[in-house]
Amino acid sequence: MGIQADVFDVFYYCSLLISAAAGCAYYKKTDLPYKWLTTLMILTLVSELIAKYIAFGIEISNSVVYHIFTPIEYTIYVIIFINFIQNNKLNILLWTSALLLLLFEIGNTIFFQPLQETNTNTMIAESTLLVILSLRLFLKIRATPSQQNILKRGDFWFASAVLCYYAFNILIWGFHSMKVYLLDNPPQIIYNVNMLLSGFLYITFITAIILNGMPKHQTP
Amino acid sequence: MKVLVVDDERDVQILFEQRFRKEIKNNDMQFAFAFSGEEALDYLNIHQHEAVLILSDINMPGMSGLELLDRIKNKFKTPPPKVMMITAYGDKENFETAMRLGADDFLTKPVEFTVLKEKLKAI
Amino acid sequence: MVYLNTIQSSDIIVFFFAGLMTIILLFGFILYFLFTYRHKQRDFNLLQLQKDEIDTQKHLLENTLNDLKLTQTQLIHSEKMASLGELTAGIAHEIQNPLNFVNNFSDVNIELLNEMITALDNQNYSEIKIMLNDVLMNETKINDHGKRADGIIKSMLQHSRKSSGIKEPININTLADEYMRLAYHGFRAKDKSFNAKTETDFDDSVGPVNVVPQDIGRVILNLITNAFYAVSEKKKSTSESYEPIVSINTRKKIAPGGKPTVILSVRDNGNGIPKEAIDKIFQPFFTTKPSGQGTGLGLSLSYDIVKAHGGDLKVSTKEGEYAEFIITLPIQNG
Repeated sequence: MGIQADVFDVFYYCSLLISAAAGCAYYKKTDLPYKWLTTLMILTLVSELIAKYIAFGIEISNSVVYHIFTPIEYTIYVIIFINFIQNNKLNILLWTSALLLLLFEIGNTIFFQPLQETNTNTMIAESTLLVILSLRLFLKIRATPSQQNILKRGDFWFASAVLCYYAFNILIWGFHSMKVYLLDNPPQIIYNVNMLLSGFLYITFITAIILNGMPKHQTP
Repeated sequence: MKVLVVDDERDVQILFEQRFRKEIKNNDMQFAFAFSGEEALDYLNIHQHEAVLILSDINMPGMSGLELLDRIKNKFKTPPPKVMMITAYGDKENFETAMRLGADDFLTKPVEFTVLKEKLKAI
Repeated sequence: MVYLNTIQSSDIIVFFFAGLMTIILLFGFILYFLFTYRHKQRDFNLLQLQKDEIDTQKHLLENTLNDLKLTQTQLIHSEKMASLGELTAGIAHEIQNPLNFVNNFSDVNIELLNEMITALDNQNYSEIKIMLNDVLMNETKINDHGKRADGIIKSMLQHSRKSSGIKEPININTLADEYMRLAYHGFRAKDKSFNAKTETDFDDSVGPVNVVPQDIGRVILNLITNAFYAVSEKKKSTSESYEPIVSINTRKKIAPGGKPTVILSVRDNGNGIPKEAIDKIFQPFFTTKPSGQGTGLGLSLSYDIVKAHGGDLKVSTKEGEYAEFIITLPIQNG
């Protein structure tokens, strides 16, 4: 089981590392939301490295990293969505959601999931918000069609990746919480699936970045 | 010999008086001047049969030289004064009209005074 | 252990089916999205195509408009040149007359001077004095007529030159008189049988009027030429008893606002302007002349010029009897 986990771990870290590196390489050529996406991947990488260091180096629960990182991650997503959707009326709503998630995280830490436990409640809340945001982005994409093939649009791949990944996240962490609530051990496979999907998420992100960074089609 | 000169240019009077200075001085010739067709007819009505020759410009505001010629030839029948037409437009049409109306001669501007003098002497 | 495994495997089955449902849901959603997006995109492409089409049309129209503007300036220029052409004969005649005087008076002076040399030999001083006075008078005449020819050439050059657009105080009576003569002789040169009585009635109290001389000159010339055309047309179609008259007069008038204005009117006793044409005469390219004879720009340009001077151009007419064009110009600036 340990070996299996290692395979998924390796896939996850490799894709994150490659995606972050590629994001840096394309940083100058891409539009603003994609620059933030690269930033997000770098931050994820850093947080994961810290988590690993804490887990193996200091040998205490690394959950503390996720308690801090989840609100930060969501805030960066908010920035990215604001840049994609470009609707001033929604900006306040989006910023408010980021603030609410932070308050939710604090409350959750105090009352339900202390620092040494994984903050799955916050993750589920974040995932739900992100699924909503991605659906909103789909609406925006449909409202502003272009002559370009949809499969060559970075925002489409980004929205699809966020939707699929975080929809599954709700499922996985929901399942996890249910099992924990029933004082049961969740099956290991769900974490492996999570790792696998995370890897695909970053690969899709980098696809979106590369599509955006490619020379723009000529406008007539 | 009395000559009536009809032209709308007033300096014509001075010019003729200078050109025919000797003739005027010797009383060979007398000149009268009119500055429009109407004036010329008035003069002729008052001084009947005095002018032997009328020199008239064709282009004049109001009554044209040709109209004047027509009136003179119709009104003063015995003896009709000789009428010489002078014009800047030496075109065939003007010439033919003048001849049809009974003009005795037709000169084009600029007037050669030596030629004019000879023509006047011939009368 | 067996129990745990059973639990575990049943959990996996539940998880597997939940995951499958999620995949189907997401897949369905994305398919639905792609379908609706394609639809929107088709509409968008169609719109874009129409927009491109409109842009192309707009571009084309803009080009056409530019071409038209260019043609217009060329037409305006050619109209000016055409009016100059009409003037040439008049100008030639107008120059010929003073030139004749210059030649004749200088000939006389040569004669006089020769005679004076003879008189000097005879010491006939009283004779010399008389002759000297004559020479002096003739010289004055030469000078006058030389200046007259000079003035005519200058005004012709002014007419053909591009309008400076600069207003200067000029005597509008002199300008009108000058153009009246030029237009008359110009018209006569084209139509030998043409003759018309010209009447002028100028108000000397008008004084200098601040206008662009070339522009106002064109207006006056245009109105006079039109008047001559009108009377000549009537002459052709009516009996001998008809006497063509073209008159031009100026009046000083204080406008209701207290501003002094000059009213210049050009009147002809031609056939007048028919009712159906009266609304169109100031429109560009409207002409009653046979094709090729008029650009149809004369009155339209005149109207524009007068308006640009803060004035007004009006017409009063009775069909079969007369037409009168009335220019009102402010005497002061503005």
